[in-house]
Amino acid sequence: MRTRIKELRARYELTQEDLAKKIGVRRETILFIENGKYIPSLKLAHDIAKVLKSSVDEVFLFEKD
Amino acid sequence: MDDKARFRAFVVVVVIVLAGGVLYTVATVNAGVDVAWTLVSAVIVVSLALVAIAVVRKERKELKSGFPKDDERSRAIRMRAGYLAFFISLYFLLGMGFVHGVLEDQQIVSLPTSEWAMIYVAALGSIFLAVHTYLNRKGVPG
Repeated sequence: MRTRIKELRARYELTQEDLAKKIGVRRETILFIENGKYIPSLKLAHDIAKVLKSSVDEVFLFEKD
Repeated sequence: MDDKARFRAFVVVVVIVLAGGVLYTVATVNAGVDVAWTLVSAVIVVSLALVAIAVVRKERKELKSGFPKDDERSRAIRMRAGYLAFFISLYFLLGMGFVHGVLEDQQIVSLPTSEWAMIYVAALGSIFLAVHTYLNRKGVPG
């Protein structure tokens, strides 16, 4: 799974800290999600997408094996 | 319980434990116990105090940063670490049984059961810490 969080964060001038505080998670969680090392729950994915003014499938890109 | 209340409760417990340790050390002096035992208990209390200060400072810093102490990733890591530590510790338990059997076969005095149990609990805790640290750095598999 790839994500566009970094790109969308840059668009809205948000740091990892800003995004983490807006969603109510730890900064490391955003870091790990960005790097594809943690797959968030549907709720967290929805919250991230909402803050980044996008839909879940625009933020999280699932590639076929 | 929110993060602030949890931090306050943690500090209270730390203070109670340290005060208990200091009282115990003073009591050993007053009771005229072996000086070595007083020194050992003083070293334990000082070590506990140093660890406690470091942990309390770290917790305070985290609390001030405004980030939650716990989120879904940290809960996932804890669950996974607990699950893995339990299964790894079962193999450790089998190993302990084997060592105990060998010691008895060789007619070497083995440890009493209560001490084996303490070793198992210490191993379980250490395995949990090691797995937790590993998962925290490498990420939880999806």
